[in-house]
Amino acid sequence: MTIGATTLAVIVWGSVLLVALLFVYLVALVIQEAWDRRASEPRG
Amino acid sequence: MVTTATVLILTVVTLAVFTGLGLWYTRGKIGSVEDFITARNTTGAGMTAATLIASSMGAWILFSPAEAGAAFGGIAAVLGYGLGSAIPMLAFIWIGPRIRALIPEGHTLTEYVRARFGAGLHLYVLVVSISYMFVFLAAEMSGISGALGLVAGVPTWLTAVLIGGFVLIYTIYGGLLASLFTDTVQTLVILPLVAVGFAGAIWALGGVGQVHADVLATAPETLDIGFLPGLTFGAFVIIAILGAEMMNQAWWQRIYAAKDTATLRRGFAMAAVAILPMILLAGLFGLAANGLGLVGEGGSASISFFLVLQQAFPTWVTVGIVLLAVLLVMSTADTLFNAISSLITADLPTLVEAPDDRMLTRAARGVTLAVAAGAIFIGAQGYSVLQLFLVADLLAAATFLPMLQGLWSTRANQAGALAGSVVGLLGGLVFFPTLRGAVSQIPVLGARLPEASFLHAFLIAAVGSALVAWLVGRLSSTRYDLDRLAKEIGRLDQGPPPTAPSPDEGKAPAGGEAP
Repeated sequence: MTIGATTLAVIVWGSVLLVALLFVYLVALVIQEAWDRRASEPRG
Repeated sequence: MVTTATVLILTVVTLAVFTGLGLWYTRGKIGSVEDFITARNTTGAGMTAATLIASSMGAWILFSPAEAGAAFGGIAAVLGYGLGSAIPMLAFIWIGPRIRALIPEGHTLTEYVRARFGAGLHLYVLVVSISYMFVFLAAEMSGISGALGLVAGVPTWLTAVLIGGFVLIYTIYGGLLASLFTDTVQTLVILPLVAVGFAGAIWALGGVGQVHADVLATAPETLDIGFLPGLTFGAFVIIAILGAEMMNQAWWQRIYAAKDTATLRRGFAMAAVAILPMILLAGLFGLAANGLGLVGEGGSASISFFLVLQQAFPTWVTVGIVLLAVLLVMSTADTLFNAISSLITADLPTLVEAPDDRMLTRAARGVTLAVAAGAIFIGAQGYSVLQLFLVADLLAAATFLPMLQGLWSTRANQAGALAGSVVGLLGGLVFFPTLRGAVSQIPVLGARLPEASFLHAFLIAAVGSALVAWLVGRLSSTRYDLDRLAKEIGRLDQGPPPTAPSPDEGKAPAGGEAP
């Protein structure tokens, strides 16, 4: 079964969108984790 | 062509920045060998996912998926490649918590094998695991050395020395912790580069519709989701990658580095979700290369990615690709330096009488240096290690199921696992295309060899090894008490664990399988 242009577009732009969304989510998570780690470290 | 000086300056600046980050983050944090090779319970879900993505995505994603799309079966092959790369991460969502529950203070897959099965399988798994990881590392070093040579005429030895040398500086100082941190930052640079780069290339080629029309006109079979060569390739790659990644110590280290089981599950799941689209996008460049008529006479499928980029972008964009390739190799190389080092370091207490923490930390650093030197040497020669890679994959495919069986089955034993691995390997070799010449020399068998097929070779290696190991286990009346693993494997910085009987001694009473 040969895939059509629409299916290929869904694969391409869906993949790009997924990578972009994951990037945003990962940035948020990593910043939050760094913040939490900093808050839990003993001061002084 | 971009000038050699420009590429060299960019490469050195990138390497220096990440080396500095690795040194800065780990300053004062490496107190013991545990910190150096395990970094236990330190990473959150975001950092776990990021290090998994960076470590698994080497420079190979710029070559292999596109080659699969162009030469090995189009979209079906690319899908298989993507699934094959994501499935091991999904498998660890299930296997990882089991490892942590059974061996809460573990470090490596080989110490599990030694305690669970015994010295024979331990030695075999050690050889298979190190072989696979070192060939992976050598392929990365050779790949980047060749790529910088191709793009800007940088001598291969110089690329190998620069990348190997800078990565060595921060991994020898900060161990796994440095790798985890630099991987995280590298992923946050790699992901947008990949998204923008691929989207830009498709746009520059006239959009998806134009690419689809080009491919349909020149190689319509590559758009066929049911194209048999593509499906066959996809299925073989899934088994090959799954087997190899189960023997990859880097993932076992990250199972322990995750803060807790929930974090581990989330991290591995996010990595799987990220890896699949990245491979799909890279692989589609192979289809595009076919559509543009770049593969074939005068073109080469293995560099489809670069051929399409040259077509789509001006030369200066090559600089961005160099940056991406260097980051991809750095993140994989630091992971493998530390993973190989941890395998050997965790085994030292069985070879040296009561080593103290300081001695083990020094040994871990010494092994890291030796691994880096080997990788630099191979990278500088520019050897092609594809054949070795396939052999290492076959060895792993014939070993991983008997090895993992021991995590759940109380009946699994060393005799069964070894017999299964040997039978699986021999069965696989009969079908293995690249060792055809050697196997065909065997009297009688040589003349009766079946048709060569990677799929049959890997399928028989995996299924055959598991069946034989399972059968031998069923025939044995002995049982292994899985609770022993937690007692026999302890921290490396608190002296030797209590002397334990060999896995075949001190049998648990016969009973059912572990839950």
